[in-house]
Amino acid sequence: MENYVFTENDWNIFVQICVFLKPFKEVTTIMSGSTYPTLSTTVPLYNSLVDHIEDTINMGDIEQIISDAAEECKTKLLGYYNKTNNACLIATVLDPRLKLRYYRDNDWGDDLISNIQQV
Amino acid sequence: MIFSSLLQVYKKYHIRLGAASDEVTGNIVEENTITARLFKKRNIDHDDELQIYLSLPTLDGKTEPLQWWKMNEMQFPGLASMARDYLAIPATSVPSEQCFSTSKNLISSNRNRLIGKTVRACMCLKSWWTGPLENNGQIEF
Repeated sequence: MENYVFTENDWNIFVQICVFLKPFKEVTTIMSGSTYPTLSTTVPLYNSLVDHIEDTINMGDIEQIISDAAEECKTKLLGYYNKTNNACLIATVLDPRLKLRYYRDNDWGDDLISNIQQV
Repeated sequence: MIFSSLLQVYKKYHIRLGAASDEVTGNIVEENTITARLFKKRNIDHDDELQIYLSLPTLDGKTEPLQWWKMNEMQFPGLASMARDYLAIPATSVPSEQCFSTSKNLISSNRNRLIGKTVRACMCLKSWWTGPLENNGQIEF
């Protein structure tokens, strides 16, 4: 049975998986709500997930298995990126907590914004 | 650019709203009273509405967007009506799918001939009754 005991290294991987997945759980919970506006936070939350994935990939001491998974995850997530349309952006601006500040803070050039809209 | 497309949509709302608000004020304000002259209707350039909104400080995360728009509806009538439409869009299909699951309890094997209209009325009532309105301690209709 000793072969089946989780090793120190296994537990280390579990912890890293947990850390990697936690933001996804958080965002999913927020986006699934039905008693508050969700569309206005879509773009900001989406981008924070992409940032989180990139941080994970670039982290030096991450297990190979996790950085591979993060890489796959990034491809999958970016596949949906161009499906956002004007409504998401307008909703963000109409959210008094975000307005245009979000896009300015993140240095969204006008070019980038218009590119996204054309897709 | 995001701003121009926002302005475009906003203008549509403003045109729609403009017609309605002129009717209302026309009935209430009489021409020659002192108060009418005092609060003389000034021609506000409604493009300002958006500029003023954007120039106000961004609020902290605890603010409820819908409540904020309700409170500031007087100042931003056009934007408020736009916000009601845009902020109502659900970002995911989760809430609607929860609704489908609930409807399973309503349309049971013994009640499978309910027409759509009845189902809708029952589902709405149920949602208002058990939803956030009740959690606030009072039900408003």
